[in-house]
Amino acid sequence: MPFNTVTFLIFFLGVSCILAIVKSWKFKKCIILVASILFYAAWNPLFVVLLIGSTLVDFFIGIRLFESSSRAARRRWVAASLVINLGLLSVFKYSQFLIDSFASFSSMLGFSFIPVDLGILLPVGISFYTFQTLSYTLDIYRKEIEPTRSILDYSVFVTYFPQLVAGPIVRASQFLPQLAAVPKVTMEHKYWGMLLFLTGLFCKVVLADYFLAPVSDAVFSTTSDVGSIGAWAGVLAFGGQIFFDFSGYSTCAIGLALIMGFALPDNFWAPYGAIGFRDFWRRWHISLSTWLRDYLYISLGGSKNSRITTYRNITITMLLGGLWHGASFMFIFWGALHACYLVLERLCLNVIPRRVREALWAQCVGWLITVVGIFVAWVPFRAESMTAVSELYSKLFFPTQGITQLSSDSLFMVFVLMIWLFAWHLWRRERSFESVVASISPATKLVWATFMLVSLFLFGAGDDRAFIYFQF
Amino acid sequence: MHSSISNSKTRVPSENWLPIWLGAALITLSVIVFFEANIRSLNWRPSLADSKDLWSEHRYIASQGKPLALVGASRIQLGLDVALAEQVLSRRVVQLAIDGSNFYPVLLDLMEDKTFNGDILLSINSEAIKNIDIADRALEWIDYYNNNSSSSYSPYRLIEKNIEKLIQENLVTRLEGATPFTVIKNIAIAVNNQGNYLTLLENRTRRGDYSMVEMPGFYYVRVGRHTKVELNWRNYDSWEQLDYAYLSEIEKKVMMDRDLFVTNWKKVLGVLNKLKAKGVIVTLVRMPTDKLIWKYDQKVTPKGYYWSRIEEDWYRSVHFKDYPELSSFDLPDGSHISQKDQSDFTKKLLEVYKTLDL
Repeated sequence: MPFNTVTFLIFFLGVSCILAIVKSWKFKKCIILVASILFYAAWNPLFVVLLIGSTLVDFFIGIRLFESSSRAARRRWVAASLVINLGLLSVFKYSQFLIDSFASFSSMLGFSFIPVDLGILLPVGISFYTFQTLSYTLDIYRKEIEPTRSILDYSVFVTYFPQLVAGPIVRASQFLPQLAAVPKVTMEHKYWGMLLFLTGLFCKVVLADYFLAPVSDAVFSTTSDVGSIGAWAGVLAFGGQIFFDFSGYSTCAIGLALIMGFALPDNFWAPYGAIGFRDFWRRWHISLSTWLRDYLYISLGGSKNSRITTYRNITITMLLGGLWHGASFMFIFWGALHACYLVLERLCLNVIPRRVREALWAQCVGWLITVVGIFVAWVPFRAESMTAVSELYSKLFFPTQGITQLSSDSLFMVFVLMIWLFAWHLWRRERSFESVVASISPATKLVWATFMLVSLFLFGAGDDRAFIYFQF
Repeated sequence: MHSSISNSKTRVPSENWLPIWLGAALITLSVIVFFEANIRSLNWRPSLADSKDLWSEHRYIASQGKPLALVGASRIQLGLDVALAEQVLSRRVVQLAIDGSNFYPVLLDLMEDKTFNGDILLSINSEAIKNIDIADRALEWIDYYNNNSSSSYSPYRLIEKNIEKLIQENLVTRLEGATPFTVIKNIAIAVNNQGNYLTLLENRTRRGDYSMVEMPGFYYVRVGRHTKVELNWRNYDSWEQLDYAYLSEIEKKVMMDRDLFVTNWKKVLGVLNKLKAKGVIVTLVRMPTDKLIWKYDQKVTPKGYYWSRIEEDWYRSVHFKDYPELSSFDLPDGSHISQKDQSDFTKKLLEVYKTLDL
C-alpha cells in the first residue's frame, strides 16, 4: 500500500504499537517481517510467493558461495544468483517488450508476426528488491561481506517494508549490522522521523500530485497542440513532479525507518543544483547510481583502461540503467542521452583547464547546461511515443504558438515552484537537510510543520495517484 | 554510511520536538474545525461523490445473486430509497442509475453480462429512447467497470475506498470527494450560496432537499433546461407572466420524430427481449414529472402516441399517470421527487410493482 493512503497510516500505527509493546528483539524482527509481507500482499497477495522465493534463493546461494573454496564453484554460485534474479526480472519485466520488439523488427523486414499478449503483471518493486538481493550475493562473491546465518535477519533485510517497493536500494553491509542488536532509538529519532515522513508526504501529495502532475499530464497528452511556453512548462513540471514524487517517497521511507530505529541511506542530494552530469548522478537516485557504478561500471573495467573503453563502459551502464526503469525504447533513449552527456563532459573536462572550470561564471554556465540537459532528457522518459518526443523537442527549441487547456495560474505556479526548487538546490548543494533544519528556530519549525500538515489537509483528497517509481 | 542514525544522533537535529508537534497538530485541527463549522453553517452537508468507483462497486454487486437493478438517470435515483426498497421487496436492490445519462448503455451492459441474473426496474421515457445513440458518461463508467473489475483491485485499494467513503460521509470539507481547497474556493466564490440540496448515500440513493433552494427561480431554471427554452426572468414582472411565457413557448413545440423513436425503440426492445430470454424480468417505469415539465413532455411526446407503443410491445410497464397514488406528488422542480416524499413514493411505486406479479 502506498504511503499516501490512510490505510498505510493505520497499518503503520498498528505496527508501531505492537513493536512498542514487544520486548524481545527477535520477536520484534518477526513482527517487522510479517508486517513487510502484509504490506507487499496489499498490492497483490500472489506476488508474495515471488518475493519469498527470491529471498530464500539468495540466502542459500550466499551461504554456498561463501563456503565454496574453489574459484570455479564460487563462479557457478554467483552465476546461479545472476541467472535466477535477472531471469525473474526479465520474465516479468522484459518478456513482452522483447516479443513486441521482435514483431516490430519483423514487420520492418517485411515479415508478418502478430505478437502474443502474455498478460504478465509486473510485481511491484521487483526491480528494487532484485538489485538488493543481487548486491548481497555479489558482495559475498567479492569477499566484501560474510553471509548472515540468520534467515530472519536476511528476510527482514530484503523485505523491509519502508524501502521494499521503491528504495532506497540498501546494501547488506548497511542494513544487516543494524539487525544484530537492538537499536537505541530515542523520542528525538521518532519525532525527526515523523517530520521526514511528513516532508516526504508533502512533496508527493501537494507539490508533485496537486501542483505539477496536472500540468505535465496535460502537456504530454497533447504534444501536438501546445506551444513553446506550454512545452517548457510541461517539461519543467515533469522534472519537478518526478523529483518531488521520488525523493518524497525516499524521504518517507527514511523517516519511517528512523521511527523504527533503522538507518536508510540518502537517495537524493539537491540534484537540480548539480554542476555537471557526473555531479548529477552523485545526487539523483544515489542508491541506484552507486549500485550501477559498483556492480556494473566497475565490473566492466570502469575508467582504468583506455578512454574509448571508459566511454564504452559509461554507455553500457547508462543504457542498462535506462532499461532498468522500464521495458521501453524511450527509457533506453533517456539512458543514451545521459551516456552522451557523460562522455561529452569527460571530453570537455580534458580540454578545459581546472582554473577556468572553477571560475564562478563557468560554474553558472555549467549548471545551466546541466539543468537544460537533464530536463531535455526527461522528455523521452515521460513521453509516450517518439512522435511526441520530436514534437516537444521542436517546440522547446523553436518558438511556436499553441493552445493548452492549462490556466495561466497553473502555468505561473509551475514556473514559480521550479525557480524556487532550482534556487533551493543550488543553496543546498553542500548542506545536508539536517543541518538546514538544525539552523532554524523552533518557531520556524512549528510554522513549517503546520504549513505542511494544513497543506496536506487542503490539497490531499484521496487521489490514489501511485508513486511514479512503483512502475519500475 | 552518511545517514547512519540507528545508534547515533548524526541525523537528528537537536530540538525539543514535542511542543512543535503538539502545536502543529493543534493548529491543524483548529483549521479543520474552523472550515468544517463555517461551511456547515452555510447549509452545506457532507455527501459522497457519485464516482465511477462507487458505481463500479454497485455494478459488481448487481452481478452477484439475484438483485433488482435500478437503471435510469436522476429521476429514479432521487425517487427511490434503496434501503427502504430492500425492506419492502425483501431482496437486494442495486442503484445503477447514472445522473444525467441515458439508460441504454447500462441496459446493454447488463444484457451482455452473463453473470447478471437479477431483475431490472428501468426508468424510461420517450425522449430518452430517441437519444439512445448519443454517447454519454455511462459508456465511460461501464468501460471503467469492465477494465477495473473488483477482483483485480489490490486489497489495500478496497480498504482505502471504504475509508475514503467514511471521510466523505463525515467531512463537509471533502464534499463529493473534492479537495478541501476546491470546496472552500467554490463556496467562497459561489453567487447563491444556499448549500447543497443534493446528497448521496453509500447505496447511491440521492436525496433532494428542495427547501434549501430558492423557489420558484430554481424551478424555472429546470424548466428552461428541460424545454431548451431560455427566458430571462428579469424581463417579466411576475412569476405568473414567466410561467405564461414558457407555456406559450411549449405550445410552439412540435412532436418528436416518431420514425426515429420507433427505430430506436425497436433496438431497446431487442435488448429487452434478450434479457427476457435470459430470465430477467424487466419492468419499465415512467417516473413522475409535473407542471410545465409534464406539459412539455405531453406536447413533444404525448403519452397516447408514444408510451402506448411501449405498452403494446412490452408486458411490464408502469406510467405514473395511470396510477393516482404515483401522480399525486408535488415535484418542487417539476422533474424529481423531493427528499420528504422519497419514502412515500418508494412504498407506493413498489406496491404497484408487486401487483404486476399478480
